[in-house]
Amino acid sequence: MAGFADVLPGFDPGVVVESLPVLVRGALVTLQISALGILLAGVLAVPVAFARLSASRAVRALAFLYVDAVRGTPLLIQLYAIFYLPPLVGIDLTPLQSAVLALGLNGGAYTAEILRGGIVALPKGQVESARSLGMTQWQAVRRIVLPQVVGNVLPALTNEAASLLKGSSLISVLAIIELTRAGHQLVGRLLRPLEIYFAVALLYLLVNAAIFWASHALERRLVAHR
Amino acid sequence: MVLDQALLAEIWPLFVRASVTTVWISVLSMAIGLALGLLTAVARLSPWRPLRLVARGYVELIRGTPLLVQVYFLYAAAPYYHLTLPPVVSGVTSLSLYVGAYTSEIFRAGITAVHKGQIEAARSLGMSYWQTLRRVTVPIMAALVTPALTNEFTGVLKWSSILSVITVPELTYRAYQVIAESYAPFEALILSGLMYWALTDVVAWGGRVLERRVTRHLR
Repeated sequence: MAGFADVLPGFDPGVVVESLPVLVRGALVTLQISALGILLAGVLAVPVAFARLSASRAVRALAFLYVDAVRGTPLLIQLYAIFYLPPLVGIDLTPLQSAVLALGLNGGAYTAEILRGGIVALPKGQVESARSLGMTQWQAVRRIVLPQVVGNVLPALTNEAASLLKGSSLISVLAIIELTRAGHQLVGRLLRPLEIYFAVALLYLLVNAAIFWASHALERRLVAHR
Repeated sequence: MVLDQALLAEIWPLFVRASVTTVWISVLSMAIGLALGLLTAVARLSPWRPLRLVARGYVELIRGTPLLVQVYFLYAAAPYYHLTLPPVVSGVTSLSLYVGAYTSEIFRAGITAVHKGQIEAARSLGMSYWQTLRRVTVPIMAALVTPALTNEFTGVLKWSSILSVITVPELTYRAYQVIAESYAPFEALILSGLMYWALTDVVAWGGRVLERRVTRHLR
């Protein structure tokens, strides 16, 4: 591997190989927490997006407050808040629960804004025709609005999922041994930051690529009905 | 949960100073990142393939990995190149590289959105190259990229919180200190959270004012 030695003096590919098992285990934790976080974000985002468009002023204001507070503060502060504040009122969450909750609440706000944009952009006639065909409001939303909106905003949703994956690295501060913390610990033990962070970056790039690949696969399925 | 007023009064000046650090770190990283982003965008549209590849590799690497890993990496790896960077310098470098990759994509979209015909039309009306750039190309681009760049700037304010892990004394670092030393998470997080919220709202408001100015020609 002369190439590495030229660019990065002292780079030992053996260290990368040696640290891979530990890092892959960390990557699986990252994957699990990110997937749960993305799921929670999606579940939260749909009602919040509709709440932002609600006829009731109080509902609109409440939804706006949630979205604006999340988007106005760093994820790291939100993580600390979810980790340190619930115990003060007697709620005990495991670090894993805190992590998923924080990522879900964070992603939920951003995803709600993406969905809201998609809903507003959808021609009114779509809902009106569905209603005049005898669908209930809920049926129209589930069968007509959401499938089209999700299809239209899929690139933005994919970016959000990728950003949530990268954001999950911050939960390393909650003492969860995911990919970033696994790497950080190995660096402390082996004192080989170059090789280990190289491997960590490689694994993140891999998972990131997988998200975009899955999104393309989903896009092909979603546009099938057109 | 009741806010401890005495503690708030005690940590308030400390947090104000820390938020000043957050602001200057963000402004500096944004400025360097903008220059880097513009250069990278131009490099990605260059006719010379190796330059395009290097620019693309940089953007993909930064956008595909977490900022936290990049911050840790630069801070831990620099000594191996006989560079001992103070935390602030290391942190601002990481943040600038991060911003550069993201803004390059914004600039690239802005550059490719200016139609050749618009430039040709300006030239055929007798404008010089510089006149075309100043009166046609830049105004069209500015209108397109301003909202995205504003968004990026509010992002930088929030991302700078990550520099707390390498002991840069910005707002999140001070908040964590108060949590760890006084065990007052409620006060520390409410105060720092509100400060971030105010900062990002001010930037978002400034962005909207700027956006109205740069889209004047569209109205």
